Formats: sequence, structure tokens, C-alpha cells
Amino acid sequence: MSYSPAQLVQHYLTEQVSPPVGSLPPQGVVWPVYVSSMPQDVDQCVAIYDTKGMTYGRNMRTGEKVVRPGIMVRIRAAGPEGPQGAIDFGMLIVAAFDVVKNLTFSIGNTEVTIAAISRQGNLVFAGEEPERQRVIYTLDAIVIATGY
Amino acid sequence: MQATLRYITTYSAKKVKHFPHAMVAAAKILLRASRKIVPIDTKALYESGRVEYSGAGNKTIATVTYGDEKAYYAVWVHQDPTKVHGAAFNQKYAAEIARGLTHPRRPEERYKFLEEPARDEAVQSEMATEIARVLGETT
Repeated sequence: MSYSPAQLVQHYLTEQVSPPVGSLPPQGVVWPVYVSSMPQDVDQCVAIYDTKGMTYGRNMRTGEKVVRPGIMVRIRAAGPEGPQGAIDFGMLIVAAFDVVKNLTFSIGNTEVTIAAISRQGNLVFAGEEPERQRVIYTLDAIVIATGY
Repeated sequence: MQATLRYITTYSAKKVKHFPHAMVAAAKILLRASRKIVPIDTKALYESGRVEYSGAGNKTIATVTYGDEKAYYAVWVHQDPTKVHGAAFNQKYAAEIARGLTHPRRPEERYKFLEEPARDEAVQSEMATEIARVLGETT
């Protein structure tokens, strides 16, 4: 089975970081980390999306083009403490991204290695949902990984 | 030896002098590529796209940016994958478009309208070529 970079990062955050950064839905209820969608009825959650990657030239030996995929993390929080909660949780994700280095782990029967997750800037305040006044923060990154 | 040093100094000074122009020219290419896919509704977002630069000489930094008082939502649109744009918008709101309640969008419009062209190999290559051209490194 193959996985997307967003799924890799979801598993990394929820199962490889200690203590976990978020939880794996559907069981996890504290900062559930979704992939490619954000349920409307969950006020406090994270979603990771696959985005356009970056080309890093070609492999000198094989000629294969090297593309490193991109991800975007969206953090949603509500209530009076929403913004601070989103920032605090976002900074945990930032810290988790910054420390990962050649980490090998299994998802199901697939062994993957995340060499690095390279942030493309800092946590960005994207705005507030007009309907429910929930704040959204985002974080973009490039994933350097193999085996997925 | 002195003639060589003089040549290098003159050569470097010429490059430094043209560097800001090269940076701005390259940024304009990125802006143009971005404007092809930026979502247009009121056109405020499209029109807020601009090139800014700071610094001088070979420390010049050119920036492509969107958002102003009218288009305060620029970051929101750029970072929101849940909204439909372009061809998907036209399909979803075909009935409203037919009744004249909204207008059809350009099919290629999408979120990440600045990040994606910035990561596009063809755009990067065009920018590099333009920088080289302005600096006089190609014919």
C-alpha cells in the first residue's frame, strides 16, 4: 500500500512523536489530525493537505527527476482561547517538524523514512471562518522522505 | 595583474548596479504567472498583486505580494483548499452563472495562486533566464 506525504506526516505527528502531537481519527478526539479534509463539526482540529512539491534537479546517476512533495497544515481552533490554542499547538507541530531527521517507521506493512520536513516559513494566521468565528492558522512545508 | 583586478572590479560594479533591475524583472515574471491563476471575483485580489523591493545593489530583495485594504482576505484565499475555484466553480455554480447571479471564472483559477507558480520549474527557469539577461550574462 502506498501513502501520500500528508498521510506520512499524519502518522509521524500522532504516532512517532513523544508525546504525540494530535491524535489519529476516528478514535482520537484531542486535536485530531485529518488528511485532505476538515470536518465542519469539529472545532479544534488539524488537517494536512498535499500541495505542489519542488523540483530538486536530477539524480546524477539515474537521470531521474527529484521532486520533493509539499504539504500544508491547517490548524483550526474556536472559543476565546482559540487563537492562543492554535498558536501553541502550531508551535508543537513546528518543533516536531524541526527535529525529525532520518526517522524510519512503519505504517501498516510499509517502512518509510522521513529524512526531513523543511518548513517554508512560520505559522501563518490565515483568518477567521465568517460563519463560526473559528481561527485558522497554516504552515507549509516540504517533505523529504522515501519508501512511501 | 592590475588590469585584471580593474576588469574584475568594473565587471562586479556593473553587475551590482543591474542587480535590482534583475530581481524586479524576475519577480514580475512570477507575478504574471500568478495572475494567470489567481481567483477573480471582484478583481480586488487580482489588482492587489504587486512587486515590491527593498535593499540595494546585490542585497536587493524583490517580493511578490497580494493583499491590501480591499483585498484583506488574500492569505485566506491563498491558504484555503476548501473553496472551489476555476473550472470546479463553474461546474458547481452553473445554474447561478446561467441566471446571471454570478460570473464564470477562468478555468485555471485556484488556491495557492502564488506558491504554485513559485515552485513551477518553467517559471523558475524563465526567472533565471531573465536575471541572466538583465545582468548581461546571455546574448
